[in-house]
Amino acid sequence: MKRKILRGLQVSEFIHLDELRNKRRALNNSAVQNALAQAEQWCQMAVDPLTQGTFVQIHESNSPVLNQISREVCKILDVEKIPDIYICHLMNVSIFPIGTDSGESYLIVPDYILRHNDEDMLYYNFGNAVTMIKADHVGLSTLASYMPGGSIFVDVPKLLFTAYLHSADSTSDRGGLLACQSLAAAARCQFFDLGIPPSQSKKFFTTDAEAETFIENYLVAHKKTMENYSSIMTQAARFVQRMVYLEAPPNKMLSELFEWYKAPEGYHAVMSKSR
Amino acid sequence: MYNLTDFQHPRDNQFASEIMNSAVTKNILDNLHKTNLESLYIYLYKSSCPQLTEKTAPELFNLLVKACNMFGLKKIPQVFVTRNYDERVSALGVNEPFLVFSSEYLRKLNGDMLFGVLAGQVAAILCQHHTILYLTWGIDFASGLIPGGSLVVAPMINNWKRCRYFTYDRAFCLATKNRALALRQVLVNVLPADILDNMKIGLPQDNFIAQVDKFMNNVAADTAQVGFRKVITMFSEKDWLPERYSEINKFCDERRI
Repeated sequence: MKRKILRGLQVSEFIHLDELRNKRRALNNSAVQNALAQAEQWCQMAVDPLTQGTFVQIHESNSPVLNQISREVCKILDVEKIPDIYICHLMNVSIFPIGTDSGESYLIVPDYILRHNDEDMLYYNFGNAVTMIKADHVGLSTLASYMPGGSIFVDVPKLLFTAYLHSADSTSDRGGLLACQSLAAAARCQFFDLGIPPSQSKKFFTTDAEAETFIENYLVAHKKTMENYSSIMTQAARFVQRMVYLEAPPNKMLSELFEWYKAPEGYHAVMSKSR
Repeated sequence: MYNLTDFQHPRDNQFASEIMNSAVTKNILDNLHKTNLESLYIYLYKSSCPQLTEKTAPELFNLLVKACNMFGLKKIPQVFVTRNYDERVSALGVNEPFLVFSSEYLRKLNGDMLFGVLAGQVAAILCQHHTILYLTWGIDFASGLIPGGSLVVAPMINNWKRCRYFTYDRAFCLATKNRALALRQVLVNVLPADILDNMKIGLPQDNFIAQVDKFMNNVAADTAQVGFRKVITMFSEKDWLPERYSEINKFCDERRI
């Protein structure tokens, strides 16, 4: 599949508006900024031995395919520095970057997705992770993954960060779609996150037009189901989900990505701007 | 037949002795026995994991018998499988040790690779690793009841958990007499087979050596990084792949494998 190179692409062209607002809320305090800067430094020192010690770095010689995809994705999204890539043994459906925004960042590829995802999906996965680097999400998301949880004293202040991380996820999903340039592949990744293996979702849709219809129907059905769960306990559960989980609920992510895909100022507008 | 000193790594031996010779350990083991948690522990595995037998897994049992004879383990342990993506294989149990393989890991093993891994687990039983794992389960169980309890005991246990792999790797080398295969098994659960093949493990153009050297040199040179590695070490039981790699190379050099 031939993909368009988005020369000169800026994050501001596709950033989720909530990300900016939530980032201001979370970091609009010099004490928080200083603490984060210090924590980021420690984080970098911890990340290096962890990455080198428990993951395996890949190169052109041992994985020409992954190497080629990562280079191509950086080119499409106009990212100059190609990050080092490591593989880890993990049952996870997305590639994640770790490191700091000011220092080194690495891309960690779980072996699980290499078994399930096709090439177009890997473009989405890499695009998503590379966008996190381009949009400076890495420092805070790495830090958040090391934050302890399980206590109200930690989880309530953490809510500020998780709100930011959830909206940042929407931005990186958009980056993933811009990199793979296939709604069907992006949807396969999103449905994989929801539990449907790619081999199965391929039976439901293969083209972008089929994916559109499928997602529309799915979201209508999901909305209908959720209308049956509008009790106070459900609201409380949603609040806890927002507070504790570092990643936004996958249904919400799918719906937001699809909204952006359809919006007049969304995906097609960004694609047509680039020559 | 091999002796314990042939394959038990000195650091495994040191940490294991520290744990087993502590008065607290004896106390915990006594209490686990008195409160019948011993049966619960065994039941947890045996009730939820299907058992493999000579009929259902003849290749595995032939190799297990061969490994037991080679290392002098008289009673052939029972073997179970569990569905767990992260786990590999462990020697568990109390008086009658048994092996629990993750089906994900077992899927990747055959022939000499499987033989070497089984030899490692036979060595684990001979080194009483199953008793320490049982003990750590008991400690985890108890410390989970006390807020912050696991933070206190985790460093001691994790240190040992990481070093036990050196012993398995040594037994692997002795059983298979194949250095390249021993090095390959360190990465077999991390990398897909095609990438692992491209790594050219154990050959002059070995792709992993650069990372091993970088890791070991960083550890030797950068004191801040050493400090942080020690902190992480306390709270993670993950084995350091480059360290295992260089320990295998050292051992094979000594033994001319």
